[in-house]
Amino acid sequence: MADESEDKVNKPTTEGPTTGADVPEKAQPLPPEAGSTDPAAEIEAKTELPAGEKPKTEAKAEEALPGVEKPSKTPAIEGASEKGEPATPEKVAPTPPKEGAASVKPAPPVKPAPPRTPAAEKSAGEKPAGEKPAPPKAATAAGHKPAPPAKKGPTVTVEITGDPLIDKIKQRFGEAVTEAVATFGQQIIRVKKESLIELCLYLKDDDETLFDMCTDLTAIHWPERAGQEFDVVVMLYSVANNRRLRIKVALADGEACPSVTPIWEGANWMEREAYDMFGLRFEGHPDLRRILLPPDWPGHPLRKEYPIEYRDNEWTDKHIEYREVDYDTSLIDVKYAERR
Amino acid sequence: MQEREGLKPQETLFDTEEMMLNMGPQHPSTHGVLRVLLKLDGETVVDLDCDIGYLHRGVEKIAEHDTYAMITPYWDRLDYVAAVSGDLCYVEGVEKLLQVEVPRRAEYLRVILTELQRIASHLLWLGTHAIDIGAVTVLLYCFREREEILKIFEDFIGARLTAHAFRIGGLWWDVYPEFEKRVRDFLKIFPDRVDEYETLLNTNRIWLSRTVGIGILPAEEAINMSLTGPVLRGSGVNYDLRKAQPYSAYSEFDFEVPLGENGDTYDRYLIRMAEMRQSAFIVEQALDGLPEGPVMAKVPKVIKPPVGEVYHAIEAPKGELGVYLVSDGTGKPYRMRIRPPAYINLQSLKRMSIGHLVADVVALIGTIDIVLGEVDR
Repeated sequence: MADESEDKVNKPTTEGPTTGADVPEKAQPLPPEAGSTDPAAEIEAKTELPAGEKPKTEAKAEEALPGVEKPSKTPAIEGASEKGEPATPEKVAPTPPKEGAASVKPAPPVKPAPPRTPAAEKSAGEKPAGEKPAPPKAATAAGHKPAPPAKKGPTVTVEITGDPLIDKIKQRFGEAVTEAVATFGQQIIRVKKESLIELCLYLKDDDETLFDMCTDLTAIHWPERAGQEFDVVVMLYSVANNRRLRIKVALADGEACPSVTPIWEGANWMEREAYDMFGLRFEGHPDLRRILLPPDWPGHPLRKEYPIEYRDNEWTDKHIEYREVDYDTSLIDVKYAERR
Repeated sequence: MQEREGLKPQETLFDTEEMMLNMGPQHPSTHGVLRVLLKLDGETVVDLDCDIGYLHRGVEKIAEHDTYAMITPYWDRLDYVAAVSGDLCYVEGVEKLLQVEVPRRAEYLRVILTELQRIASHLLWLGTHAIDIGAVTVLLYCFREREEILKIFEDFIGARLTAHAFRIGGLWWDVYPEFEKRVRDFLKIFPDRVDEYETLLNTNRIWLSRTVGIGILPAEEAINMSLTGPVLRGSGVNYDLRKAQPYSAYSEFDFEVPLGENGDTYDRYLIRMAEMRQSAFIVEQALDGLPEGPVMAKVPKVIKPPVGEVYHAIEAPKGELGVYLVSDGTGKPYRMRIRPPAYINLQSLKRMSIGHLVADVVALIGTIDIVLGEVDR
């Protein structure tokens, strides 16, 4: 084992310079192939393979690519240059992040890539924070749709088609419903903030939908999504139809969400908890106070910027006092009376 | 406000004024560290506010920093008198996310353990509820049977209370040889024991006067308040996730969902008693049909679910226990939301208490069946 590891350690040193030299050449052929399968392969290469093997996979990809590429490219050039041109910007656009992803080791070229990825993420809409360069590319390739469908493996998120209820909602609310997808067979509707109350009232009162129970209400913090930092998630259930529906509303930081407590009384404590944990304000809530944490607790713990090992010493200093215990009962009574 | 007006004494010689009464958080009848602020007119409750959070541990925050496998034991400690149910909810949620199919033997064993846990949880509820109201004997009887279940758990899982029974993908190990015999022995005696509790309470005059007509919840209000579990079924709403949206192997068993008529404390008591019998019946069926085979599915050692989100809910002893997992493709959940049944059911305490006496508040806290570990998380 020791020998092997030594070999592996040696390899990158020998191949390192060559990869560095290859980068500009590789960057061009790689991105078009990126499509759907590549990001996953990259992640694997990043995480699992030792550094020494990376150049090999890249080289293989490079070899495979031109073969795939050429047939598609050449007809475009032969047929009409106009067709070729619109294709190229798409391919060029993803290149810089690709470069960063492909050459993991050489640090300097990586740096220019990150600033561009957030922009790509914004355009792609819903996007998790963790993955850096790969998903945005996949999203742009899929045509400004959320990343999940483009991911390797089973597609978990699909557009809802042919569901009478969802079609009806879409028809009625038009542009206010920005997204209607199903994940693991669970239906999710994304709606604009302004139409939330209208939609909820419709879902509750309409005889066909009859979503009479608000099972759960919570929020998710996406700090990377500028202008839409929070998702409020309302989970509905219809006892009569035995059916679930999830509604999502995107909010900017500091923006208030319309409260659904007047519609479903059960949302009361759920909204209070969301306020407590995320600092989200719910307009129209009858009693918006903190619920699990003390009223004067600083910060909102479930925001991503709140550290996990945060111990607020000021708060504890203020509220937990250590006093000498006096065992003279008459004195205790006096103290108690004074405190009251 | 109207109710309050109605409660006020009419023109009398004596002036009365409302009084604030603080109950808890160390009060034994609040089942832990629940603090209830009561506004009283004489002995009648005019207004009520719950103060919770004394046991808040930030499990949802911790989960964002732990791997999927590491989170499982936290679920034992949410509802610590029904640890197995908590495990089942989380583990099935992650399996849904990973799209793992659990071996049938594991599914059956899960049903057996969860239903035993339901019996244990209801027994603890019955004992404490009865002692709150004044029937001390029942507690001792209930703990006798609960002990049997806990011993079965201890020999199988290694823990009595926080039984970390399930792993993502199945069970960590198969049951020990005498397991089936011991569960069958328990099932043999158990129905008679339920009869015994019922002879103590069902027609007991004190019990009846303390529970009948107390805390009546109409069905529409119960649904609107998002109540689940026996509290909802006490109002006559047929909503049991084991039937409505069967998970694990529940679709293969034959059982009934007991429903109440009046939605009062007595109905909720009857429902839980009937549920214990049904649970015993399910365990019996599961033991009869227990298939052979492995108990663990093939699950990668490093769990990295695809990007996506899933909500999974089970019928825990207290109601609908749900988990909402948002995965960003890494080894740790981006967000984990626990849908705690007791927390949401506790909201109805205010609605149920107003107009009743202080002593009834104790009965009503008992009838909701709260565990503060789950309420505060």
